[in-house]
This record gives sequence, C-alpha cells and structure tokens, in this order.
Amino acid sequence: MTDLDFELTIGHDEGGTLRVVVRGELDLATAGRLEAAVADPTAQRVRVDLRGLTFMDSTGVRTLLQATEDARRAGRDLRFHMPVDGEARVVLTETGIAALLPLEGAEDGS
Amino acid sequence: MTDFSARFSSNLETPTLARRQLDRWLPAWLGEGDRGALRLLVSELVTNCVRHAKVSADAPVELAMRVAGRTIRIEVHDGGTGFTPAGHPKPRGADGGYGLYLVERLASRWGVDTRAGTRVWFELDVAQAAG
Repeated sequence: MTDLDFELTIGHDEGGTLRVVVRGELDLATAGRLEAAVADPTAQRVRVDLRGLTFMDSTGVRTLLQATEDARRAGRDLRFHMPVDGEARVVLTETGIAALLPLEGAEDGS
Repeated sequence: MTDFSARFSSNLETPTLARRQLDRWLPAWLGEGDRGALRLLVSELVTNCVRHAKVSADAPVELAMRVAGRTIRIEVHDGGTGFTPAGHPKPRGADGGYGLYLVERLASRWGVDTRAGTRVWFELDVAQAAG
C-alpha cells in the first residue's frame, strides 16, 4: 500500500448539516472515499470543503459532478467550497466545470 | 537530452505513484505552472491505462520522459488493447471524457500509437529556463 496524501474528515453540526473536509490529492486512489462520504442518504444538507486539496485530476472532477447529479436527483442540498488557487484549481478552470457545480455562497456564512 | 523511464503495476494507486516518479524526474528550473500541467496530464494518461486498458500484472504501465531543450515529452504505454480516440475529444459530462480533453487543451502536441499495446504521448513546450 502506498502512503497516500489524502485526509477526509466528516462532521455533523447541530443543524443536521453533514460537513466533509478533504485535504491532499484527489485522484483514482482517493476519489472513492469522497464519493462514499457525500453519498450518506440521511444527510439532507451537505457541505464539502475542497480548499485543502493540493491536487485534483479528472477523476476528481467526475466524482464532484456525479455527486452533484445524485444530490439533485434525491433533492438533497449539496454545495462545494472550491480551492481558490494552486494545482487543484487548474483542472477546474481547464475543464470549465467550476461553473457547473453548486458552490457555497459567501452569504450563508459557511 | 535526458531520458527517464519507470514501470508500474496497474492498480488504483498507479496514477499517484506515476506523479511522484515524475516529481523526481522534472528539472529543478521548471516553473510551477508547467510542473502542474505535467503532473495533471501524467495523472490523466496513467488513469486511462488503469481504467480502460486490459492491463495485467504481466503488462505493467510504463512511463517515460524525455527533456530536449524546452520541450518535455512524456509517453505512457500499456500492453492492453486500450482505446482509440476519434478526432478531438470534448468533455462528455459526469461519465467521463475529461482526461483526453485536458491533454488536448494543455499539451503542445499529442498522439496515440497502437502498434504494440497503446502508447499515448504528449509534448509540452515549457517556459524558458530561469537564469
């Protein structure tokens, strides 16, 4: 087993929101863990913080899009905090998918 | 001209390992933007091998890099039947297609050779070396 550079933490706040925070590299080796974490059917409101990612490729992109599609179909409120710069941002801007993902707005303070 | 190559068994961690190998090869003078593009493209090509090709432990994924002046050439080879991209790839949404689209967007030149296994190569003309 490779010592992967990836960390995923899950928290539930008082309001029932599922908060998923990922750090490190999101790729074929690690995307399954994010997919499983956000798929929790008991969470109506999910916030995924991607700002700690140091790398993401199209496998990560696919995972974000699939999670978005699944949440929309199930009527769940899923939003992402995107990385603002660095290498993980490159794949988002080059694919144009940042525009397709529900982003966490500044207005709700989280 | 500098040549490097490495072989990996094919599994979910192969893209990670290939990026780490690349990090050890890339010249110190390379800028962060070019470095990031190369890491991303290597990750995409190796992921394609693992996902689509009929790779077994007997037919490992091979990664090779050549630096010639300002051009960095990368080749990723597997023994499988692989895939043959038709024309210029476009993103297809959640079911995939972004990998080769990124290669098309970021690489200076790229191509596929299917004569023996599948060999996908690309070249990136990088920024002038500092100093």
